[in-house]
Amino acid sequence: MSSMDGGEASVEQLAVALSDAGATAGDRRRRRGRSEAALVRAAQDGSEEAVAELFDRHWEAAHRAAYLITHDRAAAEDIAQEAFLAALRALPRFDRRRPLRPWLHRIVANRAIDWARARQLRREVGAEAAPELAGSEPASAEWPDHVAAALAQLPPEQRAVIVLRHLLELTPREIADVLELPQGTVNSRLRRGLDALGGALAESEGER
Amino acid sequence: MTERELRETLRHAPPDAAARERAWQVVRAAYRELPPPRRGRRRVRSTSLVLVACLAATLAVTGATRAPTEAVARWLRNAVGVTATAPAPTLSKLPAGTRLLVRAGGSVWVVAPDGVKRRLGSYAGASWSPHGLFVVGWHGSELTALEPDGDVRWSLTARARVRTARWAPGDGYRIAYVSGSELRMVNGDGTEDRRLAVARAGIVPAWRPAGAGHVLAWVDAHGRVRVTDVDAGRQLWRSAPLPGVRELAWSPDASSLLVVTARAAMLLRSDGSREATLGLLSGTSARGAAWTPGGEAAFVLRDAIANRSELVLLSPAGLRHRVLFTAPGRLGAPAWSSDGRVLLAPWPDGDQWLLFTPQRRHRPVQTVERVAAQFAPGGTQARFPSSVEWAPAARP
Repeated sequence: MSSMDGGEASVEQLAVALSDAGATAGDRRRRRGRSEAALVRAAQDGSEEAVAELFDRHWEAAHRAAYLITHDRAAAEDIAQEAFLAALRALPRFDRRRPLRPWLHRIVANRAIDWARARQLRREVGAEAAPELAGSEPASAEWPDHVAAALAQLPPEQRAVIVLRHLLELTPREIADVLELPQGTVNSRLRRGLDALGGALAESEGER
Repeated sequence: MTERELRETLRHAPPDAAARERAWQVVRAAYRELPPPRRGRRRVRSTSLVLVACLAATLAVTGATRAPTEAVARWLRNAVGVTATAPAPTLSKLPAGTRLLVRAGGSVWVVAPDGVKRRLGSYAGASWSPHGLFVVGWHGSELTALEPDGDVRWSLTARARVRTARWAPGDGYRIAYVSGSELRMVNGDGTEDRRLAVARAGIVPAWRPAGAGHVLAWVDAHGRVRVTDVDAGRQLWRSAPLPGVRELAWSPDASSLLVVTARAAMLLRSDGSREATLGLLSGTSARGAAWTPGGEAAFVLRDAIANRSELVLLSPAGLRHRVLFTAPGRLGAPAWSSDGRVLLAPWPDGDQWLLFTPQRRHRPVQTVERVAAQFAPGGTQARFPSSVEWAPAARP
């Protein structure tokens, strides 16, 4: 098992840390309010206030998840925003018995993985004169901790399962549904991803 | 790093409030655009039926013969869920002070500077003559020269479908057009229609805007860019095969040719040598090759994964590029007015034209909304215009 800082924090502890990070105090407070089904119903009936509350509940997690998978602020914003727009488009026919959160996260995770994969595959041509991609931005120094940087070193598939499991708190079964993978594959990616993350963090600790 | 520090780091990762606010504005606007909810409408209708019945009874009892006032009528319409027909949108004054040639829904239109539209007829596409005196339009296998008021000057029937045509600059003595896979040329008066070469279908040939003679850049069947003096029948140069060439555009001074391909936007010098290349990353594509009045190459970079488009300027000097502006969804080909004062950027996903000026490049000075409906005569199905072209400067 990988360890950090003299073996004090295991990858499981890291997972706990990630999990806690996904739920802010505000999130927990709001969860005691109206049920999600009630909010979806109100939104279907035309309540902008309900839409605002749903947005408020899910934006941070969606945006953060997208960022941790893509490691690109602009892409994260676009992906999270597009997930909410997709949810709005589906709102009139949305089955209120189904939870909104996993459905929203499915969109975020899959789009973020697609984006990250595409970025890996992108090729510059005419390298003698090819500047950077127009519009791309380096990650902000304000949001950037070495944990996000360590995550960025993992393949998108491993990043995604770690984020889904430990930031968005989905179960391996739910992750399997979201990513349309066998549960065994999810578990193995999670294992390998956490090991690699622990290693990357230990390495970055050594450099600091 | 301890576990506690790690947890704190993650917990206190600062939220991006600006991103959140931007996203909320977009989401809220999208929600307001949704059709009214069915349940709510049913409720209103059931209630309103009672109200209408009450009002009718009241009118009958009092023997009122006076027509309800407009306010009551409006209240009734609102109560029963009947909305008045939205007023037909109108184009306001165009800031460039010149005409626009617009193709929308299978028709071609000329829009005057005061916003008045004239439908020229059913054409698959059209382009201005060099001084805006005529328009060349095409539909099926017909190529037609007409005046901006719609009067046809001449017409010819090609052997295959006409895909595009461009009038030569300057004297306007030549028109190049692509029919099937043939690059052809006809004189501006409709005479001497002839075949020039086999060309890559669908790529608009580009006349060199300056210099002597009639020089045309076009793409052959092998994907080579060729530059030909059509009067002398002489090839000036040709490139190596370039995969996926889509568009060509000469700089205003004819010193550079912008070539947009599936994988790159490249600048070639007037002798065909390569000046600069901007590689496109996978998932992105470029369209709308054009030049700014200041001599920068321009094109729309579409990022399909992020679902956004950017208007990118590529400067030959220093081989630098920059983003003029970004929009969610798609952007159409940009069009600069002939005097360089106004840039029109079609934004189909917003059903808007965004009009910029050099002084305020990053924010539109004017938006034209509900564009599609403005080119839907008689309530026909509205389609956002597929192309716009400002009229060239009139002959001095």
